[in-house]
Amino acid sequence: MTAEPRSAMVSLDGVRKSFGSHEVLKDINLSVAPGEVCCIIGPSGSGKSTILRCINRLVRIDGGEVTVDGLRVTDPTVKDVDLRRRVGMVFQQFNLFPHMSALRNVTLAPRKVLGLSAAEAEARALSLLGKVGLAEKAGSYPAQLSGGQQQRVAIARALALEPKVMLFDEATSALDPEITGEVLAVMRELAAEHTTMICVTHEMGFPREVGTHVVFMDGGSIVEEGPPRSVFENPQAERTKAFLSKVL
Amino acid sequence: MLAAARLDFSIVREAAPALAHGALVTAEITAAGLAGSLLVGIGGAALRTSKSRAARTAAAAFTEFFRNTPPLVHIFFAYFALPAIGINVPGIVAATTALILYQGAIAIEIIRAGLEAVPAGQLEAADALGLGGLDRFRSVVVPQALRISLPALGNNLISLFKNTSLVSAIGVLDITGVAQDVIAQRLSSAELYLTIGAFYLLSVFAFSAVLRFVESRLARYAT
Amino acid sequence: MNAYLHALPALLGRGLLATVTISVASMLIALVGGFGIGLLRALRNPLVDAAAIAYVEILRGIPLLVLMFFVCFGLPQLGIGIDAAPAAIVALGLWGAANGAEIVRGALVSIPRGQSEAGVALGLGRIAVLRSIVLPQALRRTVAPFMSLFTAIVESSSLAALIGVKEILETVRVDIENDATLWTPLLLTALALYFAINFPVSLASQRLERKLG
Repeated sequence: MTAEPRSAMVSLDGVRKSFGSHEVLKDINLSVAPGEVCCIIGPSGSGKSTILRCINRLVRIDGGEVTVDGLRVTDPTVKDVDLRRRVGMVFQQFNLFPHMSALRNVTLAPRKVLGLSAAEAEARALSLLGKVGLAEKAGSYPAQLSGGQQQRVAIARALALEPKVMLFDEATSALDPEITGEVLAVMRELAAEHTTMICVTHEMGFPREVGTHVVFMDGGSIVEEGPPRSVFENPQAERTKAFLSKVL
Repeated sequence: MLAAARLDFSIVREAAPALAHGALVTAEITAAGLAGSLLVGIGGAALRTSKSRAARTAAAAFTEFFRNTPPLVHIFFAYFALPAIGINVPGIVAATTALILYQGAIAIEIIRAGLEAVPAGQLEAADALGLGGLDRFRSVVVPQALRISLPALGNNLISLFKNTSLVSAIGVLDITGVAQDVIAQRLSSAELYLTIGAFYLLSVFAFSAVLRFVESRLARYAT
Repeated sequence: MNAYLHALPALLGRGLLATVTISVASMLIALVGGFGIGLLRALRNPLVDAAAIAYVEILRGIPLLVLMFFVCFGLPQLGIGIDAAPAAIVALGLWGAANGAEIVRGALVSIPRGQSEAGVALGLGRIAVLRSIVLPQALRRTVAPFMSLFTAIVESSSLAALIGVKEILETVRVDIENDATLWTPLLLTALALYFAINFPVSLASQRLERKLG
């Protein structure tokens, strides 16, 4: 591997992925610098969520390369855990562990993966829960929390390993419209703190207002990308225009 | 009623101490059976979902064989056929072991279904957090699988409890065995069957009530 | 070896036949009884419901063996004489019907309420809704569970040995006579017979459940 400028936190080079005979990602090239908020938009089935999963090896790529904080995803000597400590992921369905309290959801990984003591993990968890505005719900179970609260706990859980980059997979799509605000507020704050974020989203307000780079995907390829202003107000490709006219 | 006039429950009163002892034996076999079958169930389910094809096949063969054959025949085999290869154990041990394997095989299927019912999103979240296979299994999958499996496992326990009556076939003195003993001496049987029937029925009602209570308490751990 | 081959015909012939006969007869009772009770409960009559629930709970709360003993030995004491084989079928049938009733009830309950609501909204009476809308859909969901019930009945038919019916297990016992070395081969053969009957049914049932579930 040649000496590449280490400016990219996450980079995808020629990434290909098929599920059976269906080619989901066709030669994806993308670079996300530290502190960037990269928003991926596009119709359903365009491969957006798959891209995220290729970054933390939840999905194994068929070709090309993904590099995260200098670690190559296709390198067999790079352990899953090393990769996943650097990448935090927030899911559309929250995926909180229902049999654990909010606090335990957040302390689980720091204890098992980072080896923190119970006290250290708890202190970190309470701080993060406070950050997302849910300190007093630490003892509550997911079933007792609203969707927005669950997702905020999920964000705290993902932040607990102090990752270098945060992935958001349609984080607000499963929430009632009135509740998306509380989750977006947390995401905005993370962006303001210069967290490197890659967000797949249907919700156009966030990319326009907070995104630093917008990527439009369709049919497994990146059709157009650029600063929010360019993509939203001056789309070049026909497909981009068609998509935007439908969703905006 | 003419029929009722022929019932003489003094036989039951006289046999009460023996019956009580039999009930204790029934309880012991049930307790041992529960513990054993859960161990077999968890171990077998782990093998059934293992990466090793040999393990999966072996566990599947064990499960299918025991589930599809009668527990009474297993008991007979343990007691009469095993001595031929030098395994000589007391009747109660042979019978309890046979029951553990039978109900254990059923438990394997129940627990496996429970493991597979844990939503894929849970596995994804655990993976994304960097949790290793064992941690993921122990902390995320098993607790949820057990909660999901609880109703079916409860039914398996009730089935085990009723199946303990089969041990009487090889002379073990559980409550059914005691009843048969008394009947052999006194020749009057309806009273005793009604009595032990009531014992089993009331016990099953109690089990079911406890089970429903536990299920309702666990409901708060389900989203 | 000779003794084993000598004992085999009775096992594979008379014994197997008796097992199959008892199982099929009991299964028929279970089907008729199960649907009868299950459908009666769908009518929502409180008295009928209570009787049905009592029947099901009692028959599922006692061991089948105790029931079989009671039917075979207890009833004569109360004035109702009955032979061993019919007693086994009666006991198994009653037990099977109780389980069958639960299968039918489970299937009916699993049909979403919206289906019957739609029928009622269209002006259909309760029985018509049951007959035309709910039952046809519920029927499909009873097939796999009833197949499982059949395998349970086949296994439980072995209990008839304990009241002297010469089905598979009892035939083994009788054929042993004084030769204890026959236990192993004969019991293994018996296990193989039960497995040969139940395994295909069990596989088919699992396959069905995967397709419909």
